[in-house]
This record gives sequence, structure tokens and C-alpha cells, in this order.
Amino acid sequence: MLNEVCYRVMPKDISSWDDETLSKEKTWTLEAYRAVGGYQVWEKIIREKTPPMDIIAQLKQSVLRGRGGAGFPTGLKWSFMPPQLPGKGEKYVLCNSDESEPGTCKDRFILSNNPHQLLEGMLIACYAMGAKVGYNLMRGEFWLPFNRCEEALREATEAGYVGANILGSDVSIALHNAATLGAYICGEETALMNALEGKRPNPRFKPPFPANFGLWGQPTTINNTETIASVPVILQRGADWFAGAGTEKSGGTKIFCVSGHVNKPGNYEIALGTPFSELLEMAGGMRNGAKLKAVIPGGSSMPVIPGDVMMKTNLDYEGVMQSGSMLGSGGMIIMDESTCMVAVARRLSRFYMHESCGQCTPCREGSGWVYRLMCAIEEGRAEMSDIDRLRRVAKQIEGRTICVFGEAIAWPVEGFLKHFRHEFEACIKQGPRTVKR
Amino acid sequence: MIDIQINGQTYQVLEGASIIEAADEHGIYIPRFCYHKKLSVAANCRMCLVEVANMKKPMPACSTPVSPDMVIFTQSEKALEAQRSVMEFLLINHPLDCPVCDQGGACELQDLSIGFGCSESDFGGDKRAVDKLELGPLLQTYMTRCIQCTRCIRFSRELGGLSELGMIDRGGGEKVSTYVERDLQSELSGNMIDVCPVGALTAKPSRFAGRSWEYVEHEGVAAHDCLGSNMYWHSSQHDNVETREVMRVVPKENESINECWISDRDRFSFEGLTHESRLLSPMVKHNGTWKEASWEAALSECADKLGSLIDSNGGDCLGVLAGPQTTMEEGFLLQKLTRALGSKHIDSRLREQDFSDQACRLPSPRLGCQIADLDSLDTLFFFGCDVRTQHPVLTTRINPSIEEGLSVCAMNPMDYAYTFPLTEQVVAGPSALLQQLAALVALVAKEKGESAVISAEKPSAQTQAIAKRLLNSEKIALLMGEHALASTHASAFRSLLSQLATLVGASFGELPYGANTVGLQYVGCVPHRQADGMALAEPGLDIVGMMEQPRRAYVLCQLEPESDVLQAAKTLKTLDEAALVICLTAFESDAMRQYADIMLPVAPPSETSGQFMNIEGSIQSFQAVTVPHGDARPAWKVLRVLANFLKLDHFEYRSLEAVRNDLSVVCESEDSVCELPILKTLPSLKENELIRLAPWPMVRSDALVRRASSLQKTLRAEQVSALVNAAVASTHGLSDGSQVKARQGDSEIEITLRVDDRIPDQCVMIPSGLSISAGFGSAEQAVTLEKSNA
Ligand SMILES: Cc1cc2nc3c(=O)[nH]c(=O)nc-3n(C[C@H](O)[C@H](O)[C@H](O)COP(=O)(O)O)c2cc1C
Ligand code: SF4
Ligand code: FES
Repeated sequence: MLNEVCYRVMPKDISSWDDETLSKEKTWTLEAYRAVGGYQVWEKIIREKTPPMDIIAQLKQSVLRGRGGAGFPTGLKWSFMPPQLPGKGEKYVLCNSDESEPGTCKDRFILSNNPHQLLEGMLIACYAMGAKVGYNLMRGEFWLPFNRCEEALREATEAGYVGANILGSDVSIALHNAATLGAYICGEETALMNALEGKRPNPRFKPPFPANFGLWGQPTTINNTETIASVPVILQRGADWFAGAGTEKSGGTKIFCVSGHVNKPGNYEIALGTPFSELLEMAGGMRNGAKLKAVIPGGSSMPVIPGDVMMKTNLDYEGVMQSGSMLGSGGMIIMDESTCMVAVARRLSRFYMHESCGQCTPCREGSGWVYRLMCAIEEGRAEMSDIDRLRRVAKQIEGRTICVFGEAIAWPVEGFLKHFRHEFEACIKQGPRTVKR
Repeated sequence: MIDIQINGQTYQVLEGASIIEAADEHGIYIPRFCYHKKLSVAANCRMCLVEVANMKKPMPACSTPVSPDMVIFTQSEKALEAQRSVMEFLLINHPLDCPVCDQGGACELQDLSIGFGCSESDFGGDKRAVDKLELGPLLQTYMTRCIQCTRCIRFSRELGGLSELGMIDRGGGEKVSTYVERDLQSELSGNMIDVCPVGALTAKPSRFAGRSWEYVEHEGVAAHDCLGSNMYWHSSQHDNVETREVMRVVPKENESINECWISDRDRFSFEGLTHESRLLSPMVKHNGTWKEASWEAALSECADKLGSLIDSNGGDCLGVLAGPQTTMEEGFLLQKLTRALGSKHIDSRLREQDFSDQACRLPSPRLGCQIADLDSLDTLFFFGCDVRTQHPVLTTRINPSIEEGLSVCAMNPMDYAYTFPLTEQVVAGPSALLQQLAALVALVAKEKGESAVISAEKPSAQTQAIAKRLLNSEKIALLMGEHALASTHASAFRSLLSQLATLVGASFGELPYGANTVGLQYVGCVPHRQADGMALAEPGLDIVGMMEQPRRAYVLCQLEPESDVLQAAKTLKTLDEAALVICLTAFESDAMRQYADIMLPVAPPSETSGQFMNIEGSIQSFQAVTVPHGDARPAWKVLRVLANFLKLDHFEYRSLEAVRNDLSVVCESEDSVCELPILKTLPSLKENELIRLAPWPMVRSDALVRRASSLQKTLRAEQVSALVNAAVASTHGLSDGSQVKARQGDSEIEITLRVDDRIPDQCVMIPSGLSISAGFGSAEQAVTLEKSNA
């Protein structure tokens, strides 16, 4: 099972996934999307006036979980939206296309190559939750994806799928594409709302939760691009088909973004529960036949897993958790024996220092402290006690911040120290560059 | 109310409160930096983390609402550990410069670090350094000390209404900034110093003068507007009363008046107390030369000269004026003295010139509602009121209420730069303003099915919108401001506004200038009522009358006519020609040396005890903070002894309390309320004249602030220029930046002209109270402009 959900418009043979094939096939056009059955679900919903509760029930049954990182069950999230009360103003659906987590590059592929499916998903989401307006908010650097989405929105509007009185019905839904100015933190759901409101994209404290007080203070549901793009196929092929593809608690397929020391890095949409070893094989195996050393399995904020453990791990939410990490966004960073774990950890901590929004004390101050300790260790300037200090500082950030960015700083540190402490010690004892590159 | 448990004790708390509110309510202290009860919750410092049962993570007390049966631990190991780690993070980049920090000893970070900090640092690196922010003459910044709590930003946005500060950059580089460097424009900027928990924002005028723990705190009442904001004077040298000095001023909380805010004028005017023009000993003028004199000599000269003038001309030859920093006791003695000398001519309404309805007005002006009521209005209607510069503290209630749905409408003689948005506004010159107000009343009356009370012109679109707004609101307050009060049409305005208030069921009140204008009228410093509020059958001369029918002798108590009255030119001329002018004053000026014959040094507010009455009618008393400078004496003592020198009976007051007793007995009689006359026809209006709007900039409102040096530096170019709109400029052949001659009768000044389209047609704004406009012409009256040859 490969590329049957979010990438269904694309060639099945991954080896032919190059820009040229894609642009020949123009998968992002309405015509290409219709050819694979696109918008049939939406037409059916409009025609049959499907009760919104039915759609949510099907999503629950499909065991679709959020693909943005936290893996929250989507059907359940949708059911949190309060019913439309008279005089209460708008409700909103937001699509989180800010994709900035290092190691993650799946959403841009949907946005540029299958934008109609995302639009269809957003329409269904708006319909199911009674929202009249949906926003697809992309990171500012997404030039091509943004233009493709704009073009798709234009086509869909012309075809009568979006806008007032959709397909002649009394359903009206407006969709908009928008762009942030590009900062990792804009991907945090409430920061995204602030960004869209034109404010500084600081995450908001919770409660109140977005379902009650979201965009412009109105009830809002936010989902990841992949989550929303999965919806039309789930409804088309049935919740059971989707659920059946995955495991009991992790339904369906998921895109894994394989990067690092493999022969064929890229996006692979495979059934959840697939053993990691199979994914590695699909990705052409390790580069130069090198030995797998470690994998960051869910985007850079998740703890690293040693290669041997990873080879025994099944790729679903529970499997990865059992191995001591999280499936997160599905960004698989594969590292071979030549990788210095201290250098990786230092580089990641620099990213988090740079991307912290700065509002809360533990994250603002702690991220810089972690980075400095990492530098000192890597450069051989540190003392042994700095390793414990590093762990302590990371622990002091975790769980005390406004958003889970605090965890994103702390978890990698904890992961690296848990599995690769000896490399940190070696740097301190023997100076930098202990591991040959 | 719900039950929750904090540290093992059960408490009843308000549902919907946050943990920190609930704990504060019961006196349980949770450490905090970003939380401030008057600001929105930011939850960014994370200092307030507490343990909540069944919660894995420690919870921020400021942003976590209480829920029934919640179990909270503020001091458990888990809570303390979280608080300690936050403190550690806060300190790693905070400079350890407490010994040279002005906040030292009054610093929330320093205090809490004693409870939660470690004496040794585990952090090895270099600390962050941040460039200073240049914010103008009042605030000194040391941004390296900033802990990013955003209190100043939230104050500026939510209460100041101006959003002058914000955050730029991110992560560890996050800093408070004005984006584009510029001075703060807010009249309330000093409050940011108070909300800043550390020494990042300090007061330029008072920094480094001393340490908080060396200061003594004295309760006081702000002496510059009619709100009666509560404040503390901080003085130095508590062991030696003689050398005590006022070092700074900070707000004192009073929920029903100023909450915890004061204006920059209230905070920084103390600098004027030590101005070189303080009058330090009695002075008498003989043949044009001034000489210092003893009190004995000066007072007997007063008594001799005044006595003989009265002997030969009758008491009627005396006119008396009181400025609004005169206390109630002083005002009481002043009117008693005036009347005992046989004169009825006393006034304290320095900034009014239409007294035709005085017999029907309240004995002293009132707001018409409580100050705190402004928090819960639907609609607020300002008529001729620059509330932002005249009563800045009121805007701390208005700005946040806008979010809650308050709509503010205004009819003003210019488009004042309010800090809050206006739902509807009419901007027009004085005559057109009267037309539109009449039209508004007529329209509302018609809508209400009342017979037309006044025939008026057609209402403008904005007037119609205001009418609609008023007709559709429940809780409405109408406020007549300083501009309307100063107008030659004041009585017509007042009559129409009170009709309007009755029609729409609104409260109606006035916002006069000055700290004790209300109290002085209350104690009888007006020509038409005596101290008990009883109307006099034959009123004396008001301030305008006293100048039109010159008296031979004048006593001026705490005012500088050249800068404090509406008809400055005429007043100066009359005083110059009088046989005797006695000034009780804290400051001297060149103009005063001209017209005065005797100057008696009296104590400004911090050096005297007394009472002010605010616009709600509350009487607030205060004690002297320091002894008077030089030979100055509290005015009440001077008046009492002067009365003794004049051999008047019933002035044997031994103490201020004795005066106060007398005063309260007299004032006990009920306020006599009467209906204002209903205006049926509009007064005839002159067209085609250029009328001078003459507002007092905030920092030029009275003798004390005019001498406060830091505040003077905040004056902006447009506040010291003549302003006209482009149309008026072009009909007069004038352009932006040109020097112009403004003339009223034979009084003329030269001033820079600026083109500003906030000014309506037929008007020129020439500020009052400036040194260049001192003694110039009359406010709210016709003026001519021409290009200066120079
Ligand atoms: C610092 C930070 C960055 C995030 N960035 C993204 C992102 O780029 N894209 C995304 O979909 N979710 C991101 N998330 C997760 C979102 O907050 C949110 O959980 C998600 O969009 C919910 O969608 P889902 O339920 O479909 O997973 C981020 C979270 C954090 C804390
Ligand atoms: S945890 Fe970091 S990124 Fe998240 S709100 Fe706090 S400072 Fe901003
Ligand atoms: S006081 Fe609660 S987070 Fe700052």
C-alpha cells in the first residue's frame, strides 16, 4: 500500500518521482484530481445533505489521528466544536501548513502536487463543524505551494465547489490561502492564529482552548495539512478501509519523510504499523552500505532512537512510543555511523534557541543555556558536571512553558543523553571531533 | 462561589477567578512577575507555577481558572522546585547590578530572588546585554535588566491606549521596543515605571536621588486636576524635618478614583517645588523696587494699605481671586476675610467667562456620576473636553472599557488626539458647535415625541449618528469639559446638555480644571454664594466683572493671572492700574513683579496641610510633607494673621482643625439644587471671525507644573505653535512654519504657525499657559492673524 491517500494523484512508482514526471502529469490541476475521483465525496455530501454528525462518526471510526505531531484523534477533535448558536458569530477551520519541523517535508508535497484534495478536505471539515470560513495558512517560504493552492482555489471556485451556494445548494463556505512570515513557532496552533490575526505569532496560553476561543476569539479547529487531506479518501473508501490499513490504535496510512544517510530520501506514504526496516528498504537502504546508528523518528523535537532499537520498531504511534520516542510529524532523520551525536544535538539546540518565540522564561533563557552547554561540550571546553547540568536545565524547561516548544527543546537533549552519553563524555575528556566523519 | 483547597485549607472563591486571584483574595502570596491585577494575563514569566492535584505539570496560577474542589499547593516541593527553576532562568541573564540600580530595595525580582534564588550561580556564560531605549525626558531605560514580562507593553496598550511599546526579535534576543525610536507620547507613561517589576524602566527626574528604604512615605492628593488622585510623596531625611525634601511621587491605590495610576503631571510636578523662582521671603515694592521684608513688616504693610483703601473707598474696592491649589480651609478663610472687609467680589472660576446662569448651577460642579461608573457605561459623550490631556487618569478607565463595548461620542472644537476611538464625532468651531448641539437636542426631543424645545439648524450626519447612539444606549454619561466651560457660550451649552441628559436619561456633569476648583466654589469663593451655599440676593462681581469694573485693590491667592486666566491681557492691564495688588504665591514671575505690590510666600501643596474636594464631591485631606521652603508659610496661616493685622473679629484660629471645624459647620447646609434655565433660542452668533481656541497643554496648567523641568521637555512642537487648518492658512496667506502675529485688541504675540487639519474652520488654536502666550489676549474670543514681517 503506497501513496493511496494524500498522494493518490501521484505516480505509484516512487523511483519516477522527479520534478519532470510531476510537471508532465500536472497532478495539481482540477482535471487531474477529478480523474482520480476528486470532489466526488464533496458532491455527494452536498447532494445528500449528509448530516455532519455522520461525517464525524466516520472519522472517529477511521481512527485518523492528527498528523501535525501530537497524534490527537481527529474525529474527537472535530466533535469538540460547539454547535452554532445564534448570534455567536463565526466558527473557523484552520489548516496548519506551516511545516517547519526539521526533517519534515510532506505537507509541501501535498500543497504543491495535490492541493485540490486539501481543499476538498477543508470543505468537508468546514461542513462537518459548521464553519463558514476556512484558512489554509502556509509558511512564508512556500512560494510554489502557495501559488498552486491559489490556482487550485480559483479552479475550485469556478467549478462551484467553494463559495456561496455551493453546487446550487444553500451551503456557503469561503476558503482562503494565507502565508505566515516564516518562523517555526508559527506552526504552533495558537501562534498560527495570532499570525493570521496580524499579531506577533506568540503561542497563547490555554485554557481557553481554540475550540472555544480561537481565531479572532471564535471557536476554531486546527488540523495539519496531511490530516485534512486524508479526509476525502477516508470518506470515499470508507472508514473501515482506512482503519484496516493501519493498526488498531493508529488507523490508515501516514507519510514518512525519510532524510539523511539513505540512498533514496523522500516522502513515503505507507500503512501505519509498517516495520521501520521495510521503510528503510524502500528508501534504498543506507548510503554506501553504512551501518545505521540512530534515527530521529518524528521530526527534530522527538527523542533520538538508536539504530538497533529502531530496526525492531513498527511505525505506528504506539510502536515508536514503546521504543522511547514519538511518531510526531513522521520526519525520519536517518544517521549512519559517521555521525557525531554531540554535533547533531548541538545543531538542533541551536535551532531551538533561534526559534523560541521568547515569551516564556524557561524557554527563552533555557534554550540559550542548553545551546551554550552543547557548544562547550562539543568544543571540549566543558566539565563532566556540565552533562548533568545540561540534563537538569532541559528538565527545568520541560512542562513549564506556554506551548510544547519547551518539550521540543528538552526531549532531544534527554534522548541524546540517554543513548549517547558516552559521546558527550568523550568530547569532554578527549576534546572535540571524537567521532570520525 | 465555589470551594477550593489551598495548602490544605478550604476557601470559598469566586467561580471563574484564576488561582492567583483566588489566592490573593485570601492573602496567600504566589510569586509573580508578569501578572498584574489591572492588566490582561500574559502568563509568560512562569514564576507563579503551583502544584494542582491530579495535574502532571505545575500550573501557572495566573492563567489557570479555579474549578470546584480544586486542590492547590503553592509551597509544595513540586511548586517550589518549579518556582526556583524559573527564578534561576530569570537570573542567568539578569545583571547583578543591584548596588547601582535605582530599583534596588524596591525590586520585585530582588525580593523574590531572596526567597527563591541561589547565592551561587550555576551559569557560566556571559550575560546578555541590551541597548538602552530612548523614551524621552521622563523614563530612563536599562533594557539589560528587562525580564520580558511585557507589563509595560500591556499597560501602554490596554490602559494608556497608545500601544507605544512592543516586542521585537525573538528567543533570548526578544526585546521591548518602540519599533521606530521616538519619545513616549502618553500622559500616563510614568505608570510604566511602576508596573516594571525590575529596574529596566526608571524615572529620569528622580532616579539616583536616594534609596527606597531611606524615603518616608506620605499620603497625598494630586494637585493638578479635579479627580483627586491619591498618591504618595516620598521624602528624604526622615530624622530631620527641617531638611526634608520631596524626592519623588508614586501612586497610592484608590479603587474608586485612580485605581493604581497617576498622570505624569501628578508624578513629576514635584520638580517645580525647588524651582529658582520660588518666593522665599515676603517682598514689598517701594517706588518700583522690590525689597525683602519680614513677615511682620510685610503683613503690616498689607494691612495698612488695604485698610486705608477700604477706609476711604469702602470694602467694595477689593477684588479677590483664588487659584485651584488653594485648599478648602484657605478658600474658606479667604472668602471670610473678603466678606469681613465688606467686599462681595471673590471668584475662583478662573477659566470661565460666561456666568449668566450661575444662580441656577449647583453650588459646586459635579461629575454627575461616580468616577468608577465610567467603567460600566454604554455611551460616554464628551462635549468640548480634551480628556486625554486635562484628566489623563480618566482615560485609564475609558481605554479598557472600549474593549468591553463602551462607545464614546464627542462634539469638540478640534479633533483632539484621544487615546481611544470615537464612535461618532462632530468637530466644529464654537458657534457651529452650539448649532449642532441645539440640533442634537431638537432631534432627540423629536424622536422622544417631546415638543421641540429649541429651533435649530439641520443636524449634520454625525450629529444624527450621535442622536441615534444616545437614543439606543441605556447607561449614558454626558460630560462638559474645560473647553465648553471656558466658552462664551458656556451657559447655553450647559442648558442644552442638561436638557439632553433629561431626554435620554443620562447623567450630566462637568470636568473643570484644577485640583480644588470644586472645593473653592463649595466654600464660597464665588461672588454669588456664601460659604454655606446660600445664594446671595445681590451677587458680587465675578472674575470678568472685576476686570471690566476695575477695583482699587486685589488679593490674588495662588495664581499667576498672566498664565492662569482666560482674559489674560485685560486682567494684567487692570492689575497694573490697581492701587494695590497683594499676591499670596509660592512662585514669583517677571509679570508678577510688574503688577504686584506685595508678594507673600505661601506653601505649595506638599508644604501645607488641608483638604481638596474632587469632582465627585469627596473631600480628601492631606498633611504637609516638608516644612515650607525659606520663609514661606501655609496660606491659611498667612490669611489668619493678615486678618488679625486687619483687626477683624473671629479669626482667632489656633490650628487648621479649628478652621476645618468652622468650615464643616458652615458647609453642612444642603446643596441648593435648582433647575437650569431651558434655552429656547440660541444666542446670536457672529460669523466670519477667527476664534481663538486656547487650551492649556497638560504641563502648562498651573504654576507648579510650569516649573517642573522634565515635564517641560515633553512639550511637542504642535503644543507651542499656533495651529490652523489648511483652508484657513491659505485664506490668510500663511504656510506651515511661518511666523505669524496674532492680535486681540492691542495685545499681540508672535508665534510659529503650523497647519493642522484637526482644527476646524474659523478657528486658530493658540495654546494658553505658555511663556510666549503669557498675558496674551482672551481665550475663546476673536483674534486676527497676519504674517510677521520679521
Ligand atoms: C513549536 C511547534 C511547532 C509546530 N509546528 C507545526 C507545523 O508546522 N505543522 C503542523 O501541522 N503542526 C505543528 N505543530 C502542532 C500544532 O500545534 C497542532 O498540534 C497541529 O497542527 C494539530 O493538527 P493535527 O491534530 O491535525 O495534528 C507545532 C507545534 C508546536 C508546539
Ligand atoms: S515555550 Fe517557547 S516558543 Fe512556546 S510560548 Fe514559551 S517561549 Fe514561546
Ligand atoms: S505571573 Fe503567572 S506566568 Fe507570570
